[in-house]
Amino acid sequence: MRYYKLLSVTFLFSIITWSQNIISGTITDDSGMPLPGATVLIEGTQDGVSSDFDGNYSIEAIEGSTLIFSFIGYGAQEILVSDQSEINISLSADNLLDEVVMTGVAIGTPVRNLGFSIGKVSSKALDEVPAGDPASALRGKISGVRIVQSSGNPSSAPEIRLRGSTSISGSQKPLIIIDGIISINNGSLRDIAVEDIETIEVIKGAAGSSLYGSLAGNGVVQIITKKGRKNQGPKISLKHEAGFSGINGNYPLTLNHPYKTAPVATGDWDNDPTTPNTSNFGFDLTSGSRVLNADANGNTFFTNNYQTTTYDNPKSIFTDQPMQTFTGSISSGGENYNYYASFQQLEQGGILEPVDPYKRQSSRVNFNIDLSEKFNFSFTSNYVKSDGFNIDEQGQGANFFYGALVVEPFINFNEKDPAGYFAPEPKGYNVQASNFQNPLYVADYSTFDFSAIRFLSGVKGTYDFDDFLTINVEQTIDRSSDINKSYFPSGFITPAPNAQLNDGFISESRLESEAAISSLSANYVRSFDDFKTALTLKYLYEKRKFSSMGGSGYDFIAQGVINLENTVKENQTINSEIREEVARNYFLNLDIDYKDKIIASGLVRYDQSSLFGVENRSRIYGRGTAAYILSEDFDIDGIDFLKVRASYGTSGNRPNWYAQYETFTVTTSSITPGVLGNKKLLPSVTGELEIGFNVNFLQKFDFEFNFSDQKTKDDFILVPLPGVAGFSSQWQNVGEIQSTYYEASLNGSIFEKENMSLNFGLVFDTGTQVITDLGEVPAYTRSGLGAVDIFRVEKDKPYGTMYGYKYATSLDQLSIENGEVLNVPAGASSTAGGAISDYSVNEYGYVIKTSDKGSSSESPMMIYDEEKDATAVTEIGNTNPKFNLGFTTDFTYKNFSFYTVLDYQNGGDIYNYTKQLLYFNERHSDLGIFGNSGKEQNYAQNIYNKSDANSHFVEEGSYLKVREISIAYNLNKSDLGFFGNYLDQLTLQVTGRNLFTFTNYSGWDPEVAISTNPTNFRLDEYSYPNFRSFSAAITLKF
Amino acid sequence: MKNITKLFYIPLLLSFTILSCEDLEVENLNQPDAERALSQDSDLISLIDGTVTDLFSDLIGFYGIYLDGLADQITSTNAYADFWGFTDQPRRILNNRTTNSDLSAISAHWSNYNSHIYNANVILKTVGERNILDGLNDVTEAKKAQALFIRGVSLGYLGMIYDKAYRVEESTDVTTIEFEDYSKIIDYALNDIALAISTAPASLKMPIHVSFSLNKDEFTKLANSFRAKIAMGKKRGGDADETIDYSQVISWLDQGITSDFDPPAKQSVLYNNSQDWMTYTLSDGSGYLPVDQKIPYLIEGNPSKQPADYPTDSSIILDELTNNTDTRINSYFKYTTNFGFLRESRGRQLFTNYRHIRFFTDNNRNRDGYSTNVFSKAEHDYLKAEAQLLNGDASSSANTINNSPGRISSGLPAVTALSAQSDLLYEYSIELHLNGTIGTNYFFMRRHNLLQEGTPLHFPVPADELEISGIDPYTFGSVSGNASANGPGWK
Repeated sequence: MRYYKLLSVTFLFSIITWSQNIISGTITDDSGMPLPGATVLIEGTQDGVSSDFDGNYSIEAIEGSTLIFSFIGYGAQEILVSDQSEINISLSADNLLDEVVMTGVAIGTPVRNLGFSIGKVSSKALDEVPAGDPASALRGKISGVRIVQSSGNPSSAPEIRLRGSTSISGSQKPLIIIDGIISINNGSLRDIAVEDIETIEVIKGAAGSSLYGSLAGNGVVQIITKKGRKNQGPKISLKHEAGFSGINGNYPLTLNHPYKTAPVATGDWDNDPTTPNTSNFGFDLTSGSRVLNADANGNTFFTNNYQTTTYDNPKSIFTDQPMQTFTGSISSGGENYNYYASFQQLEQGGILEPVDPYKRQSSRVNFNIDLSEKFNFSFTSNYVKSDGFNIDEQGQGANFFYGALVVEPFINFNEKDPAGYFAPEPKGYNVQASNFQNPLYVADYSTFDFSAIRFLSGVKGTYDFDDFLTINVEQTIDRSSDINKSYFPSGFITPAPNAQLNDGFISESRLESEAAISSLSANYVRSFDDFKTALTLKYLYEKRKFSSMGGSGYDFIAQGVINLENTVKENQTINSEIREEVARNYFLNLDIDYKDKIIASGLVRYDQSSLFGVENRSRIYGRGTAAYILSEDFDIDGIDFLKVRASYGTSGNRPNWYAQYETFTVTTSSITPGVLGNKKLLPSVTGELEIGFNVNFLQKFDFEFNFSDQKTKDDFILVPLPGVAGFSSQWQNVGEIQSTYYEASLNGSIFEKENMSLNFGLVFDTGTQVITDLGEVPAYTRSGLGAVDIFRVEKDKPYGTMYGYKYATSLDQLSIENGEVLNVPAGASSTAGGAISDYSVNEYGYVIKTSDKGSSSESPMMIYDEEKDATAVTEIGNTNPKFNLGFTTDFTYKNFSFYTVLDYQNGGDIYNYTKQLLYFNERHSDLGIFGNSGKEQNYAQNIYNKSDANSHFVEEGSYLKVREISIAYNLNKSDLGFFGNYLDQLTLQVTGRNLFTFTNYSGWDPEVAISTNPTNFRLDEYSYPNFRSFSAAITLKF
Repeated sequence: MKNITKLFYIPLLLSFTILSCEDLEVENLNQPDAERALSQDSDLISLIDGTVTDLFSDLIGFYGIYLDGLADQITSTNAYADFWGFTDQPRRILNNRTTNSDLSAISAHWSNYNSHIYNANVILKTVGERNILDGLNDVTEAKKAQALFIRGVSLGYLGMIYDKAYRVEESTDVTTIEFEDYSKIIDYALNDIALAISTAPASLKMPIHVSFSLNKDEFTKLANSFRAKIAMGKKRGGDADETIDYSQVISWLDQGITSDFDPPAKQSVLYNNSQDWMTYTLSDGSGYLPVDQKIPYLIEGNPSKQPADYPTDSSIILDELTNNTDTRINSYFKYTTNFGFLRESRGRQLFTNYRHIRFFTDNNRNRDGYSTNVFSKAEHDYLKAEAQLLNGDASSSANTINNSPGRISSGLPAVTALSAQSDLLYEYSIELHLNGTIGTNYFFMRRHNLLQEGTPLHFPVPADELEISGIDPYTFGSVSGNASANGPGWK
């Protein structure tokens, strides 16, 4: 209590000192960020002051004098003093190094003074071509950042990965902060309107993210939205963008089959008296089913053609869909306040014909006011409502993407039943006898909707005690509410009787999430001779809540009544869950700047969280950085700026909510042990050494290089326990993973003339990530990620290693014992025997037994593990790319501007399970190619290898993508003639996104993966293909 | 200005007040820990009662599919869940590697039954220290009997399924434990069941689930039948001591069940999931896991009409059975020319024209009141007949089969001493198909070397357990493989 009294006295004392006749105000950059240390000088005198760390200044000046506002790297401004008592100034940065960043630092700091690297997407780049979402706006602009859109589902956001993985089994998502609001569960960026964004700042490693401790082992992305400017009349902007999206190319499917054909005729082929006259579709169905068209030797070739009309069913499913966005904003400011308000309505249809588009409505208000010369208050809020369709990706049955590719072309998905609805089992369905469902029917008859509301808000109060000390209080909330519904009407038809779905099914779940975070901080900034120091002490309190409730039921009692009560009571299930997290964090940071050329910083952070084990409730993180601006001491020809820097810092990831708890599963009938608790569980610690330099040269170019060596210790892994332990497993801090990255970026202006300019940006990164320790945990292959388990977790193996059966491609890969070949052919269970001279390499590069060539036994030999005396399950691929490149250009000529983003990934394997299953389903174009080259139809089935993972389906995933091309025509006030009386600017823009992909990958798109970890788990399994879009936009500014 | 200062001061104070107080202790309100789950006697009772339900659920659960595949009761060419791996011909080696994504086909029994043993030991440890009360009633002996029964049956199934296992009692130090062979494991199981029977108080009421319980008499009969079945599970042609006291087995059976043990299903709690999968029927009328050709072969009794393997010539579709002597057949199996998911490219010898209609209830066995078919009187009779046969009394064996209700109503000619073994194979394949606990046919065929050549005689300890124990994985199965059937078997 004594402390509060002291605070009160200090407040009162400060009030007494307010009433002096001075000119005061705030100095900010273009984005409204305060510029600490900016100079205010009375022209012609030596009298001047510096702004504090919030950009505030106060100076005595007589009427008629001129104030010069300046800051390193920013253009100076002169203001004539009249009778103003407040002058607020916005300075424009001369280059990126002088832009102030707010992420990873205790107080706003210019990039030039940072001891670690930070990626920043400027407002200019965002304004030129707003990407479809904030994550896409990062593409090709920052090295070490990978953006992967693993699904084309328009309601899904691309995933962001920063440098290497820091967790073997935990999330890889960076911490997402929006205007200081730490988002819930690193929430979706899909909710943020790109048009609202001023800048995006990215911290890629622990050396920079230490400020966020156990929240930020995966790095940090902060989005800073637009603010209004002070002393500015209302600025209104209206933008309408409309266009369409469509699929890229065709999937390689075959038009051949291996079955015995017959003249097209009708009959009761299916033994179903209700359909006595069914077409045989040109197949020999005399035995009731199709039979293979074997020759006299019993061999069948995949070369027959369909006898009836063929249909391009994928085209029925994947169609061009409209998209449109309407955005409006207004910003303004007075002497003491500024605001920005906006709204946006977005509709994105994707490429699926049968489903409703993703829709989002959002509004934003950012407001800032100086309540006094010392007290500033700001408020930000964002309300987002979205609706869409939950797409079932991966899997078979009702998966649209499975049905689209697996159906044979003699079946027509567009067939309607007598009532005019899509047929659940179009004619010929029983002839193919597969397990897909007609996607058009499923979409027509069932519902998989979601609707979500998200509300983000933050309030912040800043009080300046004096020129040195400032107190900040901040409260942020990120709250979301999600509702998911699915519904199947009574009478819904499934390929096989389905007790749950055929007589009506309904389910609904509601999820509520909230992250409420409060902080209190004190900043003390002071200069001593050549030293500038800034000391920050901060307390951060986090409270997160999650609750869910859901229910489902089947067998409707009364038709047409769609609620849970209308289902048979015994078929009703309910579930609910509630989780809370409390965390307290403290940090102390000291920045020291000597003559603006030697900068050092030290940070200690102490984290406490309820997610840590009860016997280990805290963990300490920290950072030390140093930077030396050599160009301040040495003149090197052509070098405008040169800084070397080094930083070592730690951050980490928190265990999942359940990890520490000993759990028993309780049902209405039993209690059984689940996971053994761990009271000593800790968050992981990722330590990173980052060394780099920044150089600006020839007054045109800037170059950055970073080396990052990052090692995560105490990573938490679910350790399996012996069967006799009762509990199946326990989370333990036993994992270690290490990554090393090299990054470089070059930005520059090739020429800059009055009517023409050409700028470019080039980013490059390459790295490795290796699991270095698993404790006592035996190596394992991850399960549950998809239909095949391929991703290996093993000490000293790269994270992203694929394991499976490997097919021999040269004779020296065969294993011999006593002159006999031990290798087993793919698809078989035992060795084919014989001597090595009995083997050869076939035209597809696989070692086969020569005598099997052209027969049903022709099959690649699998590599043998002589030590284990069994077929080897070994490394067959690695998802990590060799390197990544991004390239942006920006060309302007008079009123025209042209902008493009290219994205290149070299290397990195993909496991193409879609293709593997299409071999089994006899639909992939390879089967026709095999057949026409004399391969027996079983050759493909042998390669399929009983669905086990194997090297044949590992494909290199290199690609070059033209991500964005945009052409704009800008008409300024002076160009608008009469309309210039009403308009400040009119912009017409045509944009194409994801236009072209150059790749050897055989699937829809090499940018495909399992969504839980799209950079490491690149598995192609019937997911929503990415699409391209074309749009035209008109923007009016008043 | 003072008001403005207050505006700032109040939230500042509030923040301090709020931020300082919140506790970091957050309870898991969704699932209990041991302290909460087992703090009350009622919790312990719930634990052991629930384990009984879970044990029976596993005894008629999903993983029985694989054992029926190995016994040629069902067929499949579906790679999903590795069904094909257990039906394929020639027989494959069991893929006992941690890289096998379907390792649960081998490992699930291990984790399930060991988990039940752990729960049983929690109770046995408790009753060694204090009494357990259900309200005012002392149920210590009843719960002890239940726990011993659970441990005995679980150990028994581990011994029947695997080549070796751990024996864990309530006082065992699990850090120094070592594997013991199946013969010893089964002996331990029989001891536990014997002790369960002798411990069971007159007041015993063992709930199979919330709506169905056994009294002491019913419990004793069931326990006797189970111990007879488990004792017979020793015999398999393996390396361990497979000596069985058949007279003892017959004696236990004489004290065993006298009618079908068939608790009614309780939806989503206890139902025959094994039947649920194997009776699943596709829209074209074919079975998802249809009847293996072994069954038409045995029924027809004429290999020229119904060969042991389906013809590989794709132009041949086998006709419907012509031998209609057995009146049960038409209500157990249905002929179809649709092959459903069977893929010719994976081996036409695995094809079939029959699917299951016995126990078919519109692709859903998970409904209140449906039969669960845990232990039929027929199986009890056939076990006795088999023990008699193996004890050298073939004529009694034939009599026992002939007096069994299923056989009486079948319309088939009487079993003779000479035909007892082959008739037992027939009855197991027909009457006990989908009608009993997991592996019923597999264990029977194993005892008589009737499994198809290359079929593993038992499962190895799962690879993930071996890895945890630091032991190199090993496996069984395939023609000429370790611990694999070596004869022509039923063919």
